[in-house]
Order: sequence, then structure tokens, then C-alpha cells
Amino acid sequence: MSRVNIIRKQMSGIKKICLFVLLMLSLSVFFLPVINADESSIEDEWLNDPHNHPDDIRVIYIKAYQFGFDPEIIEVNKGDRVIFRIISEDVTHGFFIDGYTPSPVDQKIVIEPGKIIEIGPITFDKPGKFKIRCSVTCGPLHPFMVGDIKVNPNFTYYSYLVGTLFVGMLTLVYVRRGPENKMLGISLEKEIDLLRVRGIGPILKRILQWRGFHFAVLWPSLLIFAVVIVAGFVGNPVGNKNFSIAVVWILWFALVEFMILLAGRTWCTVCPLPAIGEWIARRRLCGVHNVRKWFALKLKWPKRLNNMWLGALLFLTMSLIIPWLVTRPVVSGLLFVVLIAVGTILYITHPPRNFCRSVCPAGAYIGHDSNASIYSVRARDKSICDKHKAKECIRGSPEGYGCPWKLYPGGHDENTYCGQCYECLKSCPLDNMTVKIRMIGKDLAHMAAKAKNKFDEAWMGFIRFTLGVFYILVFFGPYSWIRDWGNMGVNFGANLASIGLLTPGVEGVVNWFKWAIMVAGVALVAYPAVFYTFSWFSKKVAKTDQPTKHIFLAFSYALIPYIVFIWAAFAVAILLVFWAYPITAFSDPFGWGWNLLGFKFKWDPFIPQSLPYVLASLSIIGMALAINSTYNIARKMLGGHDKAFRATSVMALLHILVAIAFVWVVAG
Amino acid sequence: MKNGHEAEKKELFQKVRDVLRDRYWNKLVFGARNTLSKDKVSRPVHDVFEYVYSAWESDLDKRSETAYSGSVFLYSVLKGTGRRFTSDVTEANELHEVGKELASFVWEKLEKSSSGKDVRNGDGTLAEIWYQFSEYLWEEFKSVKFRRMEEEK
Repeated sequence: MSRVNIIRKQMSGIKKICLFVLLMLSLSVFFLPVINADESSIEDEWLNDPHNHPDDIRVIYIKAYQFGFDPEIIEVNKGDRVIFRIISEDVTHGFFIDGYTPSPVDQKIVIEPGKIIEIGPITFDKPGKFKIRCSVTCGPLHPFMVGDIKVNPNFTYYSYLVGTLFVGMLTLVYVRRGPENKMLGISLEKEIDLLRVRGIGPILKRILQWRGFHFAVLWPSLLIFAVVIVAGFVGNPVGNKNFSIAVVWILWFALVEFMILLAGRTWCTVCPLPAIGEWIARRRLCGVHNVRKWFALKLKWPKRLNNMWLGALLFLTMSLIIPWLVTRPVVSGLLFVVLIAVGTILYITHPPRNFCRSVCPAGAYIGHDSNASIYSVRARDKSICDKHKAKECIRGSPEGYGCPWKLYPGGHDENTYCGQCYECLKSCPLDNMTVKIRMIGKDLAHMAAKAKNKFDEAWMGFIRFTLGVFYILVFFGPYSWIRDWGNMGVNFGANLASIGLLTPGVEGVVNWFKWAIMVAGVALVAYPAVFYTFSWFSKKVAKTDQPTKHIFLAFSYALIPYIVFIWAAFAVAILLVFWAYPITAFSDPFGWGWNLLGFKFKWDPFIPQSLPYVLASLSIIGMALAINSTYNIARKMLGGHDKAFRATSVMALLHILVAIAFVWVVAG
Repeated sequence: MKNGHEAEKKELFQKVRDVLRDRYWNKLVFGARNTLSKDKVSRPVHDVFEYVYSAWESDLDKRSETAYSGSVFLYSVLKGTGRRFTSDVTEANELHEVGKELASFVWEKLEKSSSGKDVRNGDGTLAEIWYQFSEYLWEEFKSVKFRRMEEEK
């Protein structure tokens, strides 16, 4: 058995002033490891294992550092019995292997700097890919300090590769049969009028038409945001102990992804960012003012900004600083102060919801992605709206405001800019507005057909899609150098007391630029270029006269369901691994050791070994929906079934390749 | 000129009466003593007068506010007849159209008057028109009510 050659990074002399301790503990439950400890005064002892292990036990050497493990990827064979000898080269770290080591609540493995920890032997009896995680808060990017252990033969990976190809081909076979207006066998015409469902419908209708509804859901979220901001500035600088990080970037971030799929832009219903501005401008918290004089300047919103570009680019910018944003409470606090200030000011200068439509980065992606939602606010019968002259849904009525999102709700057929404020439900005197539940992707084909110059929406899709895959790789992948680049450097932030705003060195800034160019390059240039190339091929294969630009823009809408499922995968990963942080943050919002609600949970990932299965499955579903959506779009755009199928088969190849890449990232 | 104005006013009065008779008075619920107040009978018109006056006073846009007043009229009728919605588009359009016309008429009156006295004060041109309106509608309503009672007998 050869030693794993692991030391790629040279340890600096200063950092090597340490003593090594070997701790030995034994456990008896199945594969649970025996944890051993002993002391050594030199690093050589780490490499020169003094113990005589039986021949069937393999020794693997791991170096833990901020924020990764060396080696990043370890391969073992099924049935191997392995002892890990671990040292830390900087601060105290922890060690946890998904599905193999005991729960960190029962037994936390601590690796102090300068000490050798020996863990094992662990018998790797389950094949697949498992994460090694740090279980002791060690710095800003601690939650994302991960490495990989592959237990070969990695059947999970191979079966998901085959599964991806099989589902991709199956979807193509399905669309070859020419299903018209269907999504994976379900008619896109089928809709449920939620407000007329017996039992729940009338209750829901009364709630949504109640003028106090919006205020009732807004003030709790405003209160939570107030806590987020205060916690950001005065709370514990350790991100996972701070409400502003734990609740926003774990709970909110994950829930919004599910919300998009199941409830469209429901987040926009409860979003407090523009609320203060809205209350000031309307001079009312809930009701409709008897005279429609607004406390607002009513300046005209620039036509050039009346699209998604600004929101999309701000979303990308936020993504470029995401390693800082999701780990430094003060950065999050600052961001929300700025967003609330801008939301309030813009509501007063440029009412009504121009901020939400064109500026808000969250609004941009939620709006874009919610077109794949099963939830929509629509007119029951558009012909009634056409006949009705008053158009209260635009102009407003004594019962409700005209659409603050500048839409004609009676005629709109996409979710992009519908903020689900339900004012149209209140203002319509004909009771013609309702909430409809429908199949995913219903609106995509006709949206795509109209999208002749909507580059903003296409690029929003590319940014979201590439970032979805990229985040999984960055935050749950073994490659610590990517995280280091995004984190503006290597090893800074070691001092836990100062992990608020840190000043990175020149090297850190240079690294960040590398990261920014990489992320923005992939999202804005590389993937769109690949997508354009495939669109061009699909045009050639379909033998159509449509300009490639139109095909390219139209097919970009097929990415929306894919995006929703990729991000749902990311959300699942966040929730399963970090669920304890946000729940505990409600009990101790500032990380000061409070226990307000009487519960506190320690970090204890929930069935983390299932993540490769869940994530790969979600990406495969997304892929199938994207292929079917491409066909529906092509059929509407190109006319006949044959042309549509030929065009789809080219784009399907791209979707399958991306799904394979995703499966490789999560399970390979 | 004055005759033209009077004719316009008369035509408007009749339009309002007709739409209220068909869409409002017929659906009104009488009280225990088989009575209805004068205020209730002309409530939608009053609401439009009130709204237009407030909007005009607040220096709002005439076109948009008179159109909105159509909805004020419509909602006042719906509210008066104990409804939140109507499923009849024709009814909604009719009420909106008449309400809008009424609002334009009132707005023009306000623009012409130098002082723009409050309709509620009972003085000034607009107050006079309001008085005429409510009296006219009350008389018309009584005849409708009388016919209705006759039919019921």
C-alpha cells in the first residue's frame, strides 16, 4: 500500500511551530471509526506512522487548512479499511465524513494545529462519493470547507450517468411522437382555478382580497429584516452563528428556490424592501386612499432601464462577492440597508414598483425563474377583460390599486413582472382575476415566440443557469482554490474575532479578479456562446429560415425549468447540511449565547450521504423539462413537428451534456 | 350657449336616472318600514361628486381621475346593492361610462367656477347642481318605487 502523496502546498516555517498529538478513541458501532490520539513533536511523525497497522489497513494522510483538505479528492475501494492521519496547518479544524463518521453532536473530531489525529479504521462498505467536512468553525468559509472521498467502484455515478442518458433519450423519444402542448405527458391546457376549489378556494379568496393582507404578511418580514440588519452590524461575526447569515443565506435562499417552483413570486408579496417607500408614497399602510394623491415625485422611469438588465447584472455582481456576502454578517447587513434605502427612495421618486421591476437583483431572478412555476395570477376569462372598458386592474378602483408593476393583469400571460401583490384581485369589479395552478412551463412557448429582442431575459437565464452549476462546484466541491479566489486570498481571516470586514492583501484582490473573470466569463460569454452555437446547429438541422438570433433567444426560455431544478438542488444541499444554523439563529439571533425560544441545535447534517442522489435526480428532472420545453417552443416557432423535433434533438444534446457535467460534479 | 348647457345637463340627468333605475334602485333593499333615505337613493352620484371635488382640489390629472370616477360610481352601486362584484360586463361598462361622464361634467363645472366651492357646503354652482340632481333623482325614485309597489300589490 503506497502512501498518498498529499502535500502539494508547502507549509510556511512560521506555521510549523507546533506539537503533534495523536488521540486514540475507539468506537464499536459498525463502520463508526475509532478515534485515536497521540502526541508527536515533529511533523515527520505525521508522515512516519509509528504504529504497525495490519496489512489490510490503509493509512491516508490529510492536511486540513483554511478552507479545504489536502488531498482534495481521496479514492478508496469498497471494503477498504482506512486510518486517517490528519494534521491542521493553521487553525483548529474538525473532521466529518458524510455517512461514515458519527454525528458531530455525539462525537466531534477536533484537529488542533500541531497535533496529529488518527481516525479509524473506517471500513468503506458503501460505494459512492462522500464529502469530508470541517465540523469546527474555523473561519469565514468554514461551512464550505469540504473534500471528497470516492469509494470505488462508484456505482452511484455510473448509474446516474446512464440514467441521465436514458432519461434524455426517453424524453426525445417522447417528443418524437409529437405531443402538442404537453409537458412530459401532462396537458399544458389543464389549469386549476385555486380560488374556486371547494373548501379552500373561498377562504383563500377572502384572504387575498382583504385589504389588510399585504400589510399582515409584510410586517413580520420587515421585523425579520430589521433583526437581520441589526445582527449584521452588532451580532457575532461568525456567519453561521449570526441571524443575518443563517436566516437569509440558508433559510431564505433555500426557501425562495422552492417558492419559485410552487408559488411563483410569492417572495415579492412579502418582500419588505420596497414596503416603506410604498407606505410613504401611498400614505396608507393597507387601505386605498380616498384621493389618489401620492406622496411621490412620479418621475418617469428611463425607457432604457425598463427591462431586466440592471437586475441581472446586479445579481451577477452579488454573485461575484458571494463568498463574502454569505459569510460576513456585516456585509449582509450593509447590503440590506442599501437595498431598503434604494427601494424606498426609488418608490418615492419613480413610483410604483420600478425598483422591483428593474433594479432588485432578487426580483430579477425570481421573476425570470417563476415562469416555470406552477402558480400564476391570471384572468379567468380574457375576453371579459377585453370587453370591460374601465380596466380597474390598471387604473385602480376604490377597492384596490392599479397594478403597481405596470402590467395589464387582464391580459398578461407570463409571471416575469407579476409581483403577486393581488391588487388586481381586489380592484377587479368582475371577479375575473384568480390564482391558477398549472403545469410547469405553460407560458414558455408563447413567451419565447414573443422574445425577438429580449436579450435581458436570455442573459438572466444564462447567468442563473451557469451560477447554479457553479455554486454547487464552489460551495460543495473539493476545490478549495476556487473558494480562496472568491474569498479574496489565502488564509486571511484566520482570526475569528475579526472576520467581519477584512482587508485582503494585493494577492487576495488579484485572486478575486481571477474569480470574477472566471464566473462572469462563463456566465456572460462562454455558456451563451456554446448555447448560440447549438442554436445555430439546430437551425441548420431543422432547415428553417428563422434567424439564429430568434432561435437562440427563444430556446433560452427552455432553460427556465432546468434552472429551477438546478437551484432547487442547491437549496436541498444547503438545507440538509446547514438546517441547524437558521433554527438556532431564531433562538440566538445575535450569536451571543441566548436561548430565547428554548432550543438550540448543533451542526449535524441530515442524511448528507443522500445528497448525490437527490441532486443528480433533480438535475435530470430539470433536463427532461428543458428538452420538452425546447420542443414546445420549437413547435410554436418553427411550425411543423418535424422541424421542431430536429431542432430539439440538437439542443437536447447540450442539455444532456450539461446534466452529465452536473452529475459528475455531485456524484462523480 | 346656456340652452346648450342645459340640454347637456338634462341629458346627463336622464342618463344617470336610467342607469340608476336599471342597475341600482331596482336592486335596493327597502327598510323595515318600506323606506329608503334620500341620501341612499343618490349615493353613487354623491360619491362621484365628492371624489371629483377632492381630486380637482388636489390638482390631479383630469383624464385619469374622471376615468377613475367611473369606477367610483360602479363600486358605489355595487356596494349599495350589497355586492362586491358583478358578473355582468355590460352592467359594469354602463355604470362606468355614466360615472365617467358625470365626473367630466362635474370637473368642467369646477374648472369654470372661480372659487370651486365645496359641494357639501350648499353654495356655489356645483352645490346647486348637486341639489338639483339629488332632488331630481329623489322624485324619479319615488315614481319608480310607486310603480314597484303597485306591481307588488
